[in-house]
Amino acid sequence: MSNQEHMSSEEFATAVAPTEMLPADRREHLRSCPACQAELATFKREIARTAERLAPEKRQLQRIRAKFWQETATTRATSLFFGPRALSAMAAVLLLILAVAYPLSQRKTLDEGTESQQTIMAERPDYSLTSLASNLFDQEEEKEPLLAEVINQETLAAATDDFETFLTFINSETTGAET
Amino acid sequence: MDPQDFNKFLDNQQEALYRMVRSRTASEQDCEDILQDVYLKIYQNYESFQGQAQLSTWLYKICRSAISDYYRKPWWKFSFAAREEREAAPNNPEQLLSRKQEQTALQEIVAGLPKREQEIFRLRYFDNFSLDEIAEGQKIGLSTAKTHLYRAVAKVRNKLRERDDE
Repeated sequence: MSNQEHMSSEEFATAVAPTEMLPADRREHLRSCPACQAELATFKREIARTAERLAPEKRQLQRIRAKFWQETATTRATSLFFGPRALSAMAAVLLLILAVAYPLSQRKTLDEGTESQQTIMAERPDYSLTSLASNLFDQEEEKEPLLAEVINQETLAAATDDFETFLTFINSETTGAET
Repeated sequence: MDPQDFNKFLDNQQEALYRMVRSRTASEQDCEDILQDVYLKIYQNYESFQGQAQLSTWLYKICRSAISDYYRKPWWKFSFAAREEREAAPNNPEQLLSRKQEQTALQEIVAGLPKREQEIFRLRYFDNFSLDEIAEGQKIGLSTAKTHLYRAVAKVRNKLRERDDE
């Protein structure tokens, strides 16, 4: 054994890895010191034993990999429907549908309203527009002659199916009554 | 990343990844569950790895974050097998003993070291990292990494000597 001290932790740590990294004099010490050799051998053996314990079996690695690909495929399939891109696309389509459908539904309501007015006019020409016209005038004395004219116009509107004509008349009469 | 390329990548790295995760987890089942997350993170982010860091350091960071995420998540998110294992372990001394026997003496000694020393010791001797890689992975200076490693080695040496004297 050389007359030098036993290996320090620094040297020991280095010696566990490639021995060549130790300075020449310390390599010499290691070669001639059974205590350091034994200690280093124990340390290396423990590391090797641990490495062996931590080493996976080939079959195990294959299983983990297979599971990964299986889960990735599932995740991919799921993300086609529930991923952020898919959800954004769905939201955009939904907004587009709303943007088209809402004005259409409003238009339909208006059409339905016009249709029902026309139905009432056709079925009860004396009812709908007459009652509407009667509400336009507060003055009792103005009411009677105007109502007679309204009925004439209403009949005309029903006959010609021209609601505009009637509305023009009502407007002109209302403006006239106010002035 | 192309699936074929990823398979090639796994051919080279799978064992190292397994060791890295296994030496830091309590059970086989935990290790397998964590590796699923690790693979997924690598698969999704490999394109973003530009080589600024060393591959080993990048993989280590992914493993470390996956392990930490795994043990932080609530119990219902664990896989069925892992949950079963977890529920059985604390009340079963035999299982506890067999789990302890699964570990080598060195693993037990290392588990008793302060956290930073544990990590650096594992990186050096179980994961075969160089001191430069350790310093980069731990975001510390090279001399600090060395200091922690030598301290850890000194403690492990003492423990092994004590064990041999008994």
